[in-house]
Amino acid sequence: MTEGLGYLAGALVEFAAPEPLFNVLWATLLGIAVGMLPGLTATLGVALMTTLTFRMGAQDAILILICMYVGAIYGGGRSAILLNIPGTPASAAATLDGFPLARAGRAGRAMGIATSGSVLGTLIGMVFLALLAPVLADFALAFGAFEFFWLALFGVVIAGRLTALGDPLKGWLAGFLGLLLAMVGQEGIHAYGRFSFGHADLAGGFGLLPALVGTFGFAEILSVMKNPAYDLVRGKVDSVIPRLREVLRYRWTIVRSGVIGTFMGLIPGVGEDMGAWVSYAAARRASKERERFGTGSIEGLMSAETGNSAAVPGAIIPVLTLAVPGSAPSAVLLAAMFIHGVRPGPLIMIEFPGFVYEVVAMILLASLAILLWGLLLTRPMLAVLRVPREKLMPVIFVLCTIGSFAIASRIFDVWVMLGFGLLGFVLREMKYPMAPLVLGIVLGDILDKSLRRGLVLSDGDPTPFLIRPISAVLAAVTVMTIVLGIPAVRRGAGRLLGRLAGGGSAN
Amino acid sequence: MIKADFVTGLIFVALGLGALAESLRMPRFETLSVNPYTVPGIVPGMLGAVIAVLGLLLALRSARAGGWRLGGEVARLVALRRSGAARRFLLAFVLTVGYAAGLIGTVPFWLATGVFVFVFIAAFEWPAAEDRGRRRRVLALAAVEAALVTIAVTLVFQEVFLVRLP
Amino acid sequence: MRSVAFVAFAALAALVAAPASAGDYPWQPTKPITIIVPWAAGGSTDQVTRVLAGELELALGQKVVVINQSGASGSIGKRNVWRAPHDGYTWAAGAPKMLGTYKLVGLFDTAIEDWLLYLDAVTPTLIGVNPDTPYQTMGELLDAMRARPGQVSVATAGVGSSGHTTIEAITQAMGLTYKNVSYDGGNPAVIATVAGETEVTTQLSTEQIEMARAGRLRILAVVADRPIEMVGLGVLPPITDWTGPIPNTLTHFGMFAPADLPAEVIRTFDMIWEERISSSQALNDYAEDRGTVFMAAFGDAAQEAVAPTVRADAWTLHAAGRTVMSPEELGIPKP
Repeated sequence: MTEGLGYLAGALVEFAAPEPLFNVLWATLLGIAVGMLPGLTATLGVALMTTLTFRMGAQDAILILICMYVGAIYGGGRSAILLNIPGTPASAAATLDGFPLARAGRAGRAMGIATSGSVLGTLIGMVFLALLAPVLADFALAFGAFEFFWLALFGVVIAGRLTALGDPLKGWLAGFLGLLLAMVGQEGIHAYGRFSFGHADLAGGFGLLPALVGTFGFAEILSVMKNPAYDLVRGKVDSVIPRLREVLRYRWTIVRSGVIGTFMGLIPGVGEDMGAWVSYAAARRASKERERFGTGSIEGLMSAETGNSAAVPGAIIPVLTLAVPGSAPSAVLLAAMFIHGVRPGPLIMIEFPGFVYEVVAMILLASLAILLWGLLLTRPMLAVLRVPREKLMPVIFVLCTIGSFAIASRIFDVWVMLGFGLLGFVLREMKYPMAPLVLGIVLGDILDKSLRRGLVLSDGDPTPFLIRPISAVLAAVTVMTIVLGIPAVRRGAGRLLGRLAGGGSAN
Repeated sequence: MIKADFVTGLIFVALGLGALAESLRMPRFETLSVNPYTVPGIVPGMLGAVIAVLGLLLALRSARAGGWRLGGEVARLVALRRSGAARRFLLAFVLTVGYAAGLIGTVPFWLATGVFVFVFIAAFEWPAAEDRGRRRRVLALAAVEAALVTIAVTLVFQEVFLVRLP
Repeated sequence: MRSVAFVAFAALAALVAAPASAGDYPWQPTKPITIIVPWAAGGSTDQVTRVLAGELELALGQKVVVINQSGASGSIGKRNVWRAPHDGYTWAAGAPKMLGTYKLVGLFDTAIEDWLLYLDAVTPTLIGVNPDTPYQTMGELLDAMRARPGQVSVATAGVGSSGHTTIEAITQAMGLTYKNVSYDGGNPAVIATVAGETEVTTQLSTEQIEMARAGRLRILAVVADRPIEMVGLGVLPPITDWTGPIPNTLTHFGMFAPADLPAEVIRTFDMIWEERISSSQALNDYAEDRGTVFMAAFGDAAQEAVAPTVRADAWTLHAAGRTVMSPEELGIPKP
């Protein structure tokens, strides 16, 4: 332990020089910009920087990549709050409460609180990384095909339930529609082009990014232009600096979301998106102001932003100790480490003992940088709200279009963006939430392969899906979420609880 | 909303059943000695069935609330067409799709973007400008913004993010 | 981190950077070059390609962007390369031998002769088992497969991957059966074995070596016809000690593009391979560290190097019943 502290102190001293600090500042800022712009994601940003930092030393390059990663996940929340368009898929949960807060004229406060959530979430994940990395990595290995199947299903069910509180049926329809849309194109085992009808582009499937940009970006543009005018409460720009009292008040939400986010980050393939959703769900269950969730709850926004940021160090844990990436951007980070001659894996503590603590120091610096930029940039960013929609929306649409195209240089992706935008607009007009749809597209591939792989492993026997310990827990939680989401059951359960408590106060 | 739910519920049932039917038609590679649990149709078929069930629930729920009475809807839709919201939506839709599906890929990126931003701003701000002076101002500002956006986006994506612009 | 590897790398980068001038080649790219890796990021193909991309950047004086497009045994990414303009700006990376068998298994209608190959490494596969399994030697594993037909689970990176053809070659030679579990790439397949989801993996040495060095995998044999020594693992016994001669499953790695590229592009890459890649210290060091052999080849030599493995794989897959036509229809003679 003391050895670790020594390494950490050494790393911090080494980084406390003008050049590394300068790198931290610009890389984090660039990350925030990449995260904010709809159409550019954390994965794209980290991949791009891997190429650009190729000839730097290992330490400088990885420092820049980690700052980029942390900054991008943080930045995605800014556009979610200000425009209702999540900059990266990880910030979809932040729109639920962030945008209502901004509409109520409290954007400054919302961004301040989101900043403190992100910083604290990153720090919590970092503490886990520093203290428990090898132990936690084995937790990631406990997730096999059976567990991934339930996790994917749980993600869609919980997102459907949380985004359509009054009417979970529509949330689930959106979620399962997302899963079904993810089936389009060549599947990963036999390369059969499902629902492609001989169309070459369809056989490639719908890209996640064009779908995200369409359902959130383009659909939002259409809704905004359709409505008579912004009914934005302007006026008092409240304090952008989060009050310590407020942070203390939500300390348990922060700690819980941080822990959940870290664990979600650990699990390969699900990453930051699920970190935000599961934290949000848990915060809502535990909250005293549950009814305000979804209408502008500080606590809700805090939990979502803490959860996705904590998932970043969480996702780095298996990268370092198993060479298994916990999320898409961390996969690129892993490749960058190999290229720079660091060999992450089970031997890292023996071969490169100082490196883990260097990464801890890098994450610490990145979180300080987002705190600094968060406080400095919040006020200028509020200016976005004062730009008339007629001037702002065409620019956002240009970004949506070029962002969709940029991923694979395919015009087809622009069509996908338009199609999903129109679908999203129509569904939104009929009160279907969009976040479960996008999460469904993210998780569809995992669900598909995990179910089939699980059946191969068990020779078609479904019992391992139900009796393996983690599977059983996930299955129970999924079923509970569905059952409690049915209004009649909820009323009945409420009555029963009320009677048990000896009064009629339970609702 | 109840009537719309009824119709969309039925659409979801049709979609789910369609997906299920298509999944059943997917190949099972019997001749390739493939493990039967890996055939492509399993998961999409399951998802299709779930969507059909959820859609049916939605349709039944709204039907119980009277959603199946669809008479008079056509007249309402016609009336809706004349509202300001529908007009603004159509304008935004035509401009955005015209840009992304029409201009992009056929004319150079900078030209398409410049024209789109200019026309979009001008078209939406024009009705609010009462006299000639204001209209001229609207057009001038739109042109300036279009130029700035085009230059900034082209430079950032082409030079910084190394994207091959269409 | 002041590791030796890092210092060596930095020194090399400086060394190699010195004579770099982009003006010597007949083709001068005017925009970034894209290399599509048809496997997940972080895998062995991805890593070696990123090292290679760095070398190419130095040679061409132009950015080389690496993109991951995984799925369907690597055929999706390669198909996208084929669909892109054949102008030298879009390449694929990975094991070119699979280009020779995609058509056979019905994944992608292409032939290896349609591609221009530039090779940089050749890698054997290893038989690795989870240390909690009872198999201490290759003989015990083969006995278990005999005792429980179709029940021993083997993780591979999908139909036609090196891991898949390896286990097929072995089981066909011995008349055994097994349970094939496919993953999105070599790395996920190895991890599944480390986690105990599958018992065995037959993926490449590059993908297994780190876990093996840490004792999270037990290596029973190297798939070759002679013992091979690997850093940290000692001398590994060859599979042929137990099976007798089996088809060649050595896997060559490199980058490739459609063969009808403009002549000046081909000449440029031939020159780069001749002058720089074949003497690249960075690639050589990387290869040694990852349990593989550095080997630069292009043109006809590259096609000839890959041909025996393609032939062996084609007939192994055919015997496994995974092909939609006979290799003879494609002009692949029986080995």
